[in-house]
Amino acid sequence: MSKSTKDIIIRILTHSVLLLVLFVLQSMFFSRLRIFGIAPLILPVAVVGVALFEGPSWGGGFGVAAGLFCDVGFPETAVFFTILLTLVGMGVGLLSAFYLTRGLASFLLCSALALALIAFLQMFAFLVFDGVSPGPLLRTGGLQTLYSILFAFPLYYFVRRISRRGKTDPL
Amino acid sequence: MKEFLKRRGLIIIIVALFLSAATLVTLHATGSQSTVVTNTVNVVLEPVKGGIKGLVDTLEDLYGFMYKYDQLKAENDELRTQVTELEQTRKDMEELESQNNELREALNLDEQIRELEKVEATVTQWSSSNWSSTYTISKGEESGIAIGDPVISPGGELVGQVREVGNRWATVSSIVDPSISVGATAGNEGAIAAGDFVLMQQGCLKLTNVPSGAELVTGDTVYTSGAGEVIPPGLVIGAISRVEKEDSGLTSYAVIEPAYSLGQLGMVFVITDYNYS
Repeated sequence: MSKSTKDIIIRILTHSVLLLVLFVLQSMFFSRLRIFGIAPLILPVAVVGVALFEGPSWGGGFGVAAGLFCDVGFPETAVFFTILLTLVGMGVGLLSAFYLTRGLASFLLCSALALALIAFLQMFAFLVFDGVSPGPLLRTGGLQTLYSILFAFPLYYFVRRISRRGKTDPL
Repeated sequence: MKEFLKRRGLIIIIVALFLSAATLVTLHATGSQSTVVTNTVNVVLEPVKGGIKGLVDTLEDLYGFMYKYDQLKAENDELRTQVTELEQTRKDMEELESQNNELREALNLDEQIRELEKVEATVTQWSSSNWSSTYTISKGEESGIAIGDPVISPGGELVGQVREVGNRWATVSSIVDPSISVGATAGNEGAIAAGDFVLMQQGCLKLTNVPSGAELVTGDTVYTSGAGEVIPPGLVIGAISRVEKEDSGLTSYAVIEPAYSLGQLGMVFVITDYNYS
């Protein structure tokens, strides 16, 4: 087995473990550790991190897997996260390949934008189709985004460390 | 390719995100089962999701074993005490039933019989979603559970309705989930007990569609009416905690506090069939 193949396999395994650990934390641990009744979304932040450091292919792949796990965990979303996180992974990967520096500031910015987009889409249907007033929706969406963005700090160091195991062409 | 992506990448991303956002909002709004797109994607993803669900169930079992042992032990001790108390209550009930039968015979009253076919299950996981209130239970299609089946607490209070079923698991919308809508009665008035996004965050639901002129009284118990014949009549939903005006100011609605504390749910019963005469 060549060194590059071995590196890829190790990296896939590391990302799979990261995905599983984060899913367990998101769905079983932090679902009980709610702040103002709100639980955080950790997996989208991880998708942004992987995409930023590994590029669009890895970002998209990690996005599909993370999206599937999210859709399994949230019964109200059949394919919502699978589609959205795949696009987020590919999008952030492309941005990082051409426009963004791979640092904490870019990570925080992209995570905030991705989380805000998710919150907006989640509240949009309630706002338009169920006639819920915007105040409580904005509060829920805002708190969800703020609580989730906190996880960008520890995740930044994890995904950066994993990406340093071997350098590949981001595209 | 790289040059093309460098020049057009940002536009492609923006267009893709816009299109996906529009698609996702439409899918979300029209319901997860009702469109061709959703069904097609679900058919493709279902085996993958099934595999992930199996893995998740194993992890949940492991988590439950590691972290819930002390909690289960305490629950077990409490349940032993309750069994002793219930044994005494049962004896008292038998005596009362005998007296009741004698009185019914004396007054020539028809007897109302309600037979519920129930499947016992345990709550394995609460969803971490901030936009719904759902939980997963340990039984599914193999035990005869179907979508729409009502779920009750050990005390017989309505605590949810089955939303999604797998072979050995089912997802239940709790009684305060915004998707819940159940025929209800309070006092002598027929109405609808429905989930509401804002009240969900307070752990409550709404009694709406109340006939004009009806008097809603704080403390009144709200029961299921049996309308639609999906949920049997007479199940306790909760009690009216306050009465408020709708945004229009013309009609009122009541806020219902569920009879069973949802945070305490451990064991539940799914009603798979019932007879009421």
